[in-house]
Amino acid sequence: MVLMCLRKFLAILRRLDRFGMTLMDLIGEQVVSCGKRLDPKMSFDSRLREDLGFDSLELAVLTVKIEAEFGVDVFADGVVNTVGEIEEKIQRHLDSISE
Amino acid sequence: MNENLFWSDPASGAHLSYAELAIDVGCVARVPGEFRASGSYELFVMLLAAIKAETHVALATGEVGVADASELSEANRSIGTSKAADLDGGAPPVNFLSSGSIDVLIDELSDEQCVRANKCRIGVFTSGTSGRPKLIWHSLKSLTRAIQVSPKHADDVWGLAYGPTHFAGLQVFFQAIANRNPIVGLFGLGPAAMHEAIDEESITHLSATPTFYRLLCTGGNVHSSVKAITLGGEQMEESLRTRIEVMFPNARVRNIYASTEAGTVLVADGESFVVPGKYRDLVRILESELQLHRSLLADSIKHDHAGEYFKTGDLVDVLSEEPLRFRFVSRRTDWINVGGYKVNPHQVESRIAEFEEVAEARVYGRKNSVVGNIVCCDIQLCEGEQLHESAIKQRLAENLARHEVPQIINFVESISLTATGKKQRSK
Repeated sequence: MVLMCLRKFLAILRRLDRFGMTLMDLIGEQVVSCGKRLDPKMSFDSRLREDLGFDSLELAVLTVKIEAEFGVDVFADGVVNTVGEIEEKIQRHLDSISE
Repeated sequence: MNENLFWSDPASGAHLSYAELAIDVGCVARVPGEFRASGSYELFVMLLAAIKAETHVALATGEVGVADASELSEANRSIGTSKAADLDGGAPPVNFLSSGSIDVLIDELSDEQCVRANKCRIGVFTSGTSGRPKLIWHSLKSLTRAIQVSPKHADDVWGLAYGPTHFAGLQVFFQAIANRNPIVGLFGLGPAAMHEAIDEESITHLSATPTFYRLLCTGGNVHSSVKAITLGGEQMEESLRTRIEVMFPNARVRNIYASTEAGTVLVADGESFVVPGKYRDLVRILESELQLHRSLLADSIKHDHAGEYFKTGDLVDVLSEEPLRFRFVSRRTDWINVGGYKVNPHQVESRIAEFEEVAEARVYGRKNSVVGNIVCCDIQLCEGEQLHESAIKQRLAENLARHEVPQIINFVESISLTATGKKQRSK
């Protein structure tokens, strides 16, 4: 029982780690492809517009790329403001499909 | 002299009164044929100078322009100056304004006779269906058609959410100035700064595209000061209306039908538009397409348009004939509406087809929850050829507006066709 919980916990950690890194890579790529400088301090607290400098068109493209990677339109029920909020929505989506 | 606030810019902290506006307009020595503004206030000053001098000016920003000699000459001809080839606006230095004349100028904006008699022409660039934005010349009459001046508007405070040369932004300007209301510059601000500005300036009226509201209406902010919300330029989904109503609980929400070609034509409550009596003979629906009588068009379009009615390309569902009530179903089916800007996919394809490496291309729209739609394209390269996505975008950006450049590019073996052999225009 304990071993089963531990395995499940490690699997979640691995998934978080994998998708967290992929999400950051994806957003970083979008920052660079928009001709902006990538801030090495980019974190889950980074605000998409104020800190990363995305305008509405660039955010629109980001939604498409995120949906292609993770299968969820993170802006479908309202625009998100930070990288962390994107991560939360993806996480909720992943949780819902694994149930 | 009127010390009431005219312009407030949260980004810079600038606050300028109507009195200061009068001084700045008075300092304009010459109105150029094309004016590239760095900000909204600067543009408004030049606009008023052009109206006062009854000359013409084409308004441009960094992304659009430049009017060519023939377009500026056309404006000269329509005004009736003798300087047909003069690329520089036309008016010699004009000395204005005496202390009272800004008030006189403002009052004239709501005087039908003065408006009709004024010879000024204001050029506005559209997003264009060609590779280059098209310049549309408007008279003061078509620019001020929709303004309402009334004591009930005396305390309105307008949030300007459009770029300074956007036709809808000019509508906000004329409505505000005719009633001597303040205008608060929201364009370019992030959501947090906008929320702050709405509350600090007690904004009562907001006019913007659905894309603007999609970005604004997140989080738990509630703005009780806002009494009127207008939307235009794109279709609005019902979920967005709900979010707007939550954020602006005291606001009346209205859709505006307007185009750079015709100006503001119709206003709706809810989803349906009712054609007012005065426009009943000027609006018709033919084969589900909304058509406008040529008398509603901007001057430069009227001259180019031979038929009696202008086909808008907007498809509608008629709900009643008398009064004529309808709701919009879609834009011209193969055009792509990106955040209020219309993109002609055929034109974008033509540009791509000019690349030697490309055998065939298909440009289409893809629904997007941020801007309504984005432009995508499938490209079939010639055998043995290679071309990078970034190179395609770079080349297209030389001739197309930013929103027209396909954001998603797929390289395919062959282009998708419909059952009748036409290219698929939606995904």
